[in-house]
Amino acid sequence: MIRFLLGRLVGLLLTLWISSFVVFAALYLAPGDPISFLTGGREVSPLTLAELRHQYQLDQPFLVRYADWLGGVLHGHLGQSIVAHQDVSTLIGARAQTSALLVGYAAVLIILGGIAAGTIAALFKGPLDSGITLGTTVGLALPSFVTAIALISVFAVDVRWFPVFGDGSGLLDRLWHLTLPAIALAVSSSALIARITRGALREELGREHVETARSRGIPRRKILRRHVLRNGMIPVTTVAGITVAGLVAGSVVVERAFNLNGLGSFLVQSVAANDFPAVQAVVLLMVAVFVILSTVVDLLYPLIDPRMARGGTQ
Amino acid sequence: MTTLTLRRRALPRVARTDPGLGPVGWTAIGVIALLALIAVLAPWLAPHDPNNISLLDANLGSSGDHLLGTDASGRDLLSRLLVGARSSLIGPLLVVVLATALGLTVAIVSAWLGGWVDAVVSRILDILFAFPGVLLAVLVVAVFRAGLGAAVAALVIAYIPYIARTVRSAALREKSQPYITALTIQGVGAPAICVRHILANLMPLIVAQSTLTFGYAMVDLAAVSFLGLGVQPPTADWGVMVSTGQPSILNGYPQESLYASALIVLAVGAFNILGDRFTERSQRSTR
Repeated sequence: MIRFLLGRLVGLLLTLWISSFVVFAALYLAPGDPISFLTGGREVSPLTLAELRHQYQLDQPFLVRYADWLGGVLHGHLGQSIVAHQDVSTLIGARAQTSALLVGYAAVLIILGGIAAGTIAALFKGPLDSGITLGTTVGLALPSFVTAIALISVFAVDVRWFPVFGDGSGLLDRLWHLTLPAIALAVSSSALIARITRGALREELGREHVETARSRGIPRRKILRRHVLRNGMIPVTTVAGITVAGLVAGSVVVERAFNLNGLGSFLVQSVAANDFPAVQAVVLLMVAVFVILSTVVDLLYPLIDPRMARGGTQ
Repeated sequence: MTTLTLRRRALPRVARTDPGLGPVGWTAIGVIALLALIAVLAPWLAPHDPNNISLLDANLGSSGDHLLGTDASGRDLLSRLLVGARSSLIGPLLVVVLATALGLTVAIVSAWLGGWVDAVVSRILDILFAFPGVLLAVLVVAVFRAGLGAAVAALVIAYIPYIARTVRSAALREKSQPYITALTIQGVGAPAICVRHILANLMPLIVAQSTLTFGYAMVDLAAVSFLGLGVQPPTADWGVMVSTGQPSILNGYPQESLYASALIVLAVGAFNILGDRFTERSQRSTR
């Protein structure tokens, strides 16, 4: 068990370290020169240019800059935005909250909605099952931005139950504003979870030990809870974990669609403005959250499946 | 318990008849063929120049001249949707072909060689998994400027680990089969075994995986174009059209976004359904 934990932790750190290198190196190689954005296309003397380069440490060799940057990141300094002339950490702070709230909200919808729909489809054969299966097929083909556009065109023009733009203020109002974005982000993933849940439960229902339990007269509820759901949730957890972690990237698109002022919108703006330090910081942050969430799910396995705790490192 | 399983094993296996793709599967093939045909013939099918701006004709409803109406710049929507099929389908096609070719080569070579090569390849794939497709695309676009090429390159890299992981585990299973040992003993060379036997036997799985990947690639590429980082306006592209049509929705003209969205959903749905059918068939044949 301890070996398993240590192995995962080392893997996590290694992945994070290499990701940081990739993110930094990619933008170091970028052909666009951030200095031209600093000067705004004006003619500047070579002296000012050298000063600017020095101020943003653009005159240092690659490895020195990487080491500096990584050292800063580890201390919570994500660098200086070239466009906003502010610390990126300050710029990210409030936006990260919006994104985290959005991802959390969508995750709850995905897990509750997906598992509920999948369980119902697995247990009740017939029209209910066919309906849900059809729904998941359609849902899987719906990209988040398409759902977003559909929701906007319904709720912005025809029915005005939910706000379609803006972040809102205060927790409840923010959640209220995030409802449509969260639904847009959740639809296709819920369909995926529903499908996986249905498949896993159907497989468990057909197992010999379940049939045996049924023939021994054990109440259906108990069989479902202790034998079917418990075992069926193992593959569901895997997929749900990866899916929820993937929402971190998916939120970029939804934030753009709903004009939310989150990390994703900030990332897209920064890319458009060639604001390299900001892009580096946000991409690294998102990759880190993605990797950490995936690792947390890996660590949850032994709790769900005791066989893992005993031996397997897989 | 033992006798029960023994007797089960002893019974002759009921031959499973291949039910084929079924009506739904064939419909999906039909939809895909139709969209491909439209992409090829688009310049001849389009009734108007897709980039012809005419502000006097902005946001027209459907009429004899403009069957699906016009967008906010007065461009003919039908023509833009038809021509947009090109970049919307070619992008995912490139992603699938390149990612599959690279992914399966890496997977089969590393499964065949095993040892440290396999270990190193697996670790690299694990690290690539840390970059979600859209995020990698944004990073690559930040480096190489917005455009379809950069987005395709990024998604190829992002999809390689998914394809490689599936193919690798299947190739490992195949490698442990007795017939491979028989071939080795007969003196058949490794490249010949890998290509003519392992690859050939994995083909149904690879086809299924590529079909599903096409759907994902289409969603991701359209998303990148929607963000304004992929195909650049005024080029007609479904993902771009969903985005450029968004302001008009609030003015009560949702046509551009909705038509483009509908085509994306139709294409992605068709590829998903077909991919599922292929997956079922490949699983049935390996069982």
